[in-house]
Amino acid sequence: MITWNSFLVFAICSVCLWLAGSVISALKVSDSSISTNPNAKSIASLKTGSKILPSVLYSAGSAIFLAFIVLLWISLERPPMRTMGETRLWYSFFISIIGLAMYLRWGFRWVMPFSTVMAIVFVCINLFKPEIHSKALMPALQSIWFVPHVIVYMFAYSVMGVALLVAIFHCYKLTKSTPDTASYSAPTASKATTAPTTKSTASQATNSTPDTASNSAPTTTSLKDDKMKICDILVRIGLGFLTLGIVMGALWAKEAWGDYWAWDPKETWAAATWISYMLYLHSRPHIKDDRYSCALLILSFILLQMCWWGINFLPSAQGISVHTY
Amino acid sequence: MEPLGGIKRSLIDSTVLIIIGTVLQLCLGSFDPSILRFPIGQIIVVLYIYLLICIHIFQKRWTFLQRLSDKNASIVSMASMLVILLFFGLVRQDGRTDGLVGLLGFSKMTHSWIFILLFLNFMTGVSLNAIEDIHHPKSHKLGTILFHLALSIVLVSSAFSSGDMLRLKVTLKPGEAQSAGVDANGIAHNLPFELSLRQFQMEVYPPALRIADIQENKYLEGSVAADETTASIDRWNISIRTYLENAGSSSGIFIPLDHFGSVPAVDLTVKDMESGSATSGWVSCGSSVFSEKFLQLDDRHVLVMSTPEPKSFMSEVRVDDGEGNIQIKGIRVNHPLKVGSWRIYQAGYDVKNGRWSTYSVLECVRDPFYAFVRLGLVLLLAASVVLIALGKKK
Repeated sequence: MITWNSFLVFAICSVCLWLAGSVISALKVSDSSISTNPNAKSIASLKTGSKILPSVLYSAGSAIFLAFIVLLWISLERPPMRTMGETRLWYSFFISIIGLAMYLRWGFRWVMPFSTVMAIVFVCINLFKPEIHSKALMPALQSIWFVPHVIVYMFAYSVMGVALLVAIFHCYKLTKSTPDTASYSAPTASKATTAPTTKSTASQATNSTPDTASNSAPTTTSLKDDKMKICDILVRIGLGFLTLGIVMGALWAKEAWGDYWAWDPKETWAAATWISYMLYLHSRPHIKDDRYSCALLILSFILLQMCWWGINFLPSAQGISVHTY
Repeated sequence: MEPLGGIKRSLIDSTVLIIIGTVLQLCLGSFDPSILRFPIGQIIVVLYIYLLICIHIFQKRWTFLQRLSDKNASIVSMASMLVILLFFGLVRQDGRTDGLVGLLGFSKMTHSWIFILLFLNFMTGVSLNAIEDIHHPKSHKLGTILFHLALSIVLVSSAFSSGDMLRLKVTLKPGEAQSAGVDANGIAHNLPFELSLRQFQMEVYPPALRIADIQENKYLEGSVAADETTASIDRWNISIRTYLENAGSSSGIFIPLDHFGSVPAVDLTVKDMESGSATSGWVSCGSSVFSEKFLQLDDRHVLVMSTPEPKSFMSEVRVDDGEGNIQIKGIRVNHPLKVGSWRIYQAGYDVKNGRWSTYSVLECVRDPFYAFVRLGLVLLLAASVVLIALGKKK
């Protein structure tokens, strides 16, 4: 019978494997060497092979973490999704999965270390401030919508978390670069003005690190070099899941309370979060300086945190929200 | 980058809306959604859709109409909604009318003219974009088309249904029949059917045992379910000998009793792992009939039992529509009963008496736009799936 007392053992195993996978992924063949080396094809295949060890270690960490969640589910005889501690379990798990998926898809060396740090933060919160004592599942939560609603939301939160990490990383790089190359990647209008020829920019990239190369060569950069495009994809996917979560919540609320939407504080902040990410996506083609887009992503993520747990401490929400746990 | 003038123009438009909203709020007071009752609400929604189509048709001839739905207008309307939603989230929705917040109607935001105008602006932008998408569909924009259309249906149908939505609370005692309910303002309304409660049933979880620090006035971290045998909280080891789900007390001793007001009780021993001392006795949460019993562990710690949390509760009701249609059904949370255009929800019970509640509270809801909102939400689900599937594409 698995209880929260076993969490420490599972957490240590997962964290060790995540750290091992992350460190190895960070030390492997750099991305730049592939685009600049004449034998790019053979190096690419080498790189694909080099992804195996960190990916296996990392996914083993996630598998152990998932095993704990599943065993806890069986032990509690209900989905472990009710308390803050339980939702943090899913967050750690999903963020590790998304980090792994991004590493496999785009080969970022930094993404697994970043997502590991984020996952560890939430594991540590669960260890030091569990908020997990209640075993009961109140009648309102006994619905077919409960599991998909929470999982979809936690997945969306995790995707948005990774999008934020990418944006901050990108902003940091931009800030470190020279002012005239600091902004470049508005997907439509700015490209033609900042990258005159493919050939010249490609040669610039040869003598640069991957990230500074991408700063100065927007038209020739691949998707993996254009961090804001990665952010756009992640936000689009995250927004899709966020919308699924909101709609499922609305359909559930109608079954439980007779109203699709009641402007409960949680719902109000969910709407603010949703519209903020929507604003990000709509404004992206019109904002030339990526730092403004990053700022909007940071604001959106703060709103998301407010929606997730911030309302528990917000004076305006005290005693009137049905979403307290 | 778009000309700055476009954004500036849209910002001015939104500012004008806020000023108009403020003037309306100060002159007329908060908006009363009851004016949207049948048939006014239905007439307005038809006129609104007609107006949207007209705007769409004449947008090319009269370009100023594009200011309602172009890219700049969309961005500014979303930003305006975001700002007003931040106020919505930060201001307590208690309906107070004093102070600047009360004066602007922000303490009952959904009735504030500023919120309503900004919402209307946002809804109009989305709807015009939806019409444009449908009129000139592009296969690679399937996700966007679905998203705009679904969102437009949800926003329009929910906005204009608020006047016709009726929520009536009905408090039923066993054997008693009711054919009227009371709305949030305490006004009674007749129901098109008669409700009577046959029985109210409740299942509860085993109560939790917790240790309270009476000096700090807080509970220690952790709890033990009454149906467990041994467990630890902080430095105390708890061994439960007997757990009675339904009990009554006599001179501090609990015996099995299945009767109104009976309580859960446990007989246990608590051992202090530091000092080695042990304390034994009965603990119960008490009820309106039997008093609470706790166990003093030392001069600042007490073992208490919390009130059992409900696992499920159900009202078995008889519904008679007066036309010979009688149905006897159980209504539980998340499982409403549909009667014509009404849905009946399990809303509450006498919390003080818990599973011995002598009445059940049901809520009868009439929502004529139910199907439209549902259609919009289902479309929005589909749009989200498309958005995720095509996440990489624009």
